[in-house]
Amino acid sequence: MVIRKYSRPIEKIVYMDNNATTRADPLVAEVMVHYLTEEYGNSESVHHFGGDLRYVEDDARENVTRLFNGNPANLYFTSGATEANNWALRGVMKRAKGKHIITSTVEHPSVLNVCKQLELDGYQVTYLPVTMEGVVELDALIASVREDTSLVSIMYANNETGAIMPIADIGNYLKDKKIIFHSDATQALGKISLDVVAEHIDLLSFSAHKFHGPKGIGGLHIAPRKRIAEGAPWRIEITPFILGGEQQDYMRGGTMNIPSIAGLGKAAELAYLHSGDSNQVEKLRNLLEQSISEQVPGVIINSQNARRLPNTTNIIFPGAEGESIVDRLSEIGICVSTGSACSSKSLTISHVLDAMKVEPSCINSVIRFSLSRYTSEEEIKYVIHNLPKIIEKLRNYSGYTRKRGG
Amino acid sequence: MAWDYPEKLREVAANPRFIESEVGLLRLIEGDGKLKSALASGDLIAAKRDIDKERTLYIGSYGSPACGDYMTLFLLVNNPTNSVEKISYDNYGCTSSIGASEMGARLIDKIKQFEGGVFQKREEKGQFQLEPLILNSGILRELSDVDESGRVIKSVPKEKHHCSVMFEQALRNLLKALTHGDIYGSLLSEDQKCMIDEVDGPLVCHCFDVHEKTITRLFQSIDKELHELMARGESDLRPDDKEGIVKYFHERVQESTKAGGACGKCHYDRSPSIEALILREFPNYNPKGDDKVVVRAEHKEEKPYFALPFFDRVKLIQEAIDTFVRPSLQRDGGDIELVSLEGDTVKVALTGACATCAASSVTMAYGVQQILREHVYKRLDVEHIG
Repeated sequence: MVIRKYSRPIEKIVYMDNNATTRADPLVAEVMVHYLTEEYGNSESVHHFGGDLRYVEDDARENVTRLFNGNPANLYFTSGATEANNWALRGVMKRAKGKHIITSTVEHPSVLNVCKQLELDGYQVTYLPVTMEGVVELDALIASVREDTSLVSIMYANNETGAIMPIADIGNYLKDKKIIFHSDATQALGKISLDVVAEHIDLLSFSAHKFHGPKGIGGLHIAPRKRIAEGAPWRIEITPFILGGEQQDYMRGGTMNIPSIAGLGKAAELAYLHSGDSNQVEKLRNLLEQSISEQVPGVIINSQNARRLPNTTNIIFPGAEGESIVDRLSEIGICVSTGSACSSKSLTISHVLDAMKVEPSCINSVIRFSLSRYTSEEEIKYVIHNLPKIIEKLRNYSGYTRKRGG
Repeated sequence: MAWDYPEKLREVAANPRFIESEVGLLRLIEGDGKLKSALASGDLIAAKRDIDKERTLYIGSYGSPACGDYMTLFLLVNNPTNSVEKISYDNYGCTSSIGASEMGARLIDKIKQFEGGVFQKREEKGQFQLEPLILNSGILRELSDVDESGRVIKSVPKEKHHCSVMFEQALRNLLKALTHGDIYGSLLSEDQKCMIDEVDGPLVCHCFDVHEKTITRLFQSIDKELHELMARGESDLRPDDKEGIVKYFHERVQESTKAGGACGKCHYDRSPSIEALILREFPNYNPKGDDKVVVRAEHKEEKPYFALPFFDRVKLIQEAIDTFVRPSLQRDGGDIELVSLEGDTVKVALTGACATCAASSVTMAYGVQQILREHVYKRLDVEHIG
């Protein structure tokens, strides 16, 4: 295994695909190297060299839970948000009395596909629609709650549009009910402030690599009980998903991944320190949106009127196909995403934009820019300098400009 | 995901020479509002306009932006000399779609000759059919990277083959203008519908508008390709593995045309379904591995269960239940009713004496399942509903 240089030599990389993954902070890499090569013991060992490494877990739990006002004792490390989502849904439904789940049509595949599996196993799932802005409505949720509803799973913020769901309202509505509330906060954590206590979130899943931590580590925060008005607290029951040794109170087997946990802890610590940067990120995002709207006629910004993540913008460029745009931007080092059917192996369009009832002829023209605290104004300007030319060219190919001009 | 495109394709897609907005063939028919609005709304399938005594402009469109690709092909033909004077196209699509459109246009520009070069007349059942001579396979070959000896070192990714069907399809539609004049999607007359059915066969995939003949045309090359793979030992498929082979054909059809890629109803449920087409063309697999791996149908054979239309499948199941299950149940004062067939799941209800016994209904459902699997189709599941 050798490190191969990027196959296309490009002078610069402008990375605007931070909802896909982020660059690990060099400080994160530094602590990880330390725990890989210097203090490499197993934290379950009896000897001090290994066993003392429990302090790494404790530090990381503290740093991570500070981001969402959680309790360090209730945090379990997983291989990432996909595992955490699988665990939350399967683990809860196995013990649940009722067989009904409520989720939304715009969830991540790691929730939707588990729900589809659960349906095959005899559970019933309600998939809530979203508004044109891509947001779940509390009223729709209330209307679909049934006697046998056991779990509500709604993402905190959507990965494609950045739209933030009314989590506090949902939590507030569910707090007096014997229904467990799970939220996939993968995209939100480290970008906006969360509060599992105030927002009454029982289960929260997240992944480190979305906020400058390493890939392959994340976690599930499990509130142990719920205080239903009058009467004894109601215990939240969840079975383990990955069985193994006695790690993490038998709730999640597997040798503790100390280097990654240390990296996660460091990333969380840095996210907390940099939480003030989100204003700057938002300013740059707005600059990008504004300049594109000014220079490229006919663009549509999705979820513009919803509460959104400060780093995300999802823009439709009618008349130019998404994969072509990505491909041409990629040639000059700009990294973005598209929901175009051509970009996916399955040739299917984005389920999120489809659920938002975006015009079918536009879904394949969508580009997502997602910024990070590393994004500079100069990079935004580089994009604005190059993008309009590319769109104009592609619109010329498709005849869009000519057809528009009459 | 990032596609590993050949350099040739990238080069062609980056430097298109025949973009309509630059070539400007439409300027020749400046005042034609009806045609223009049909083009702008994507309603135009084919059109033909005489520019002067000698020249005719032909237009053919295929695809839609909602599906991810759209293409319109324009050919200005000089009739007395039978040559293409100018060619241009509109393309909304990914890099490989742009590359394929451009390559198709370059090939026509090189050939110039219209009848006999771009298309040929072929007689079928006393009627003339116009067959394009610029085909997807040729375009794909031209887009591959080759080494000095002409050996292909990198070709267009398999998953992106469907993007190059655009050109051949647009050309096929354009040729329809020669025989049938203007065709608008929303205004298709019954005659024209019949004509499209005649040329392309019945509609199979409603989502991506793929007709029967578009699919069957691919069979020969897939057959050849599979034969080669098997000869080289690169395929796990065995000649007698009928289901595996049907699956392989189906995957390749979907890669090449998108057919069956969206709602999936044309896999089995429509008539004709993709499976039925494959089995109609190749009902027997030749285990000896002669020239052709697949032997074409000499005469119509009985279709297997999964290739049958829905109602025939229900009929088979009903017959099996009537013959093998019902008599023994009725002896015990019970009865069974076929409630529904959903995919491969058969739902039955037990009535009479059997209905009241919870344990026996589970056992019965299992028994019925075994019988149906043995006599009808081995993948059937039986569920009992109370």
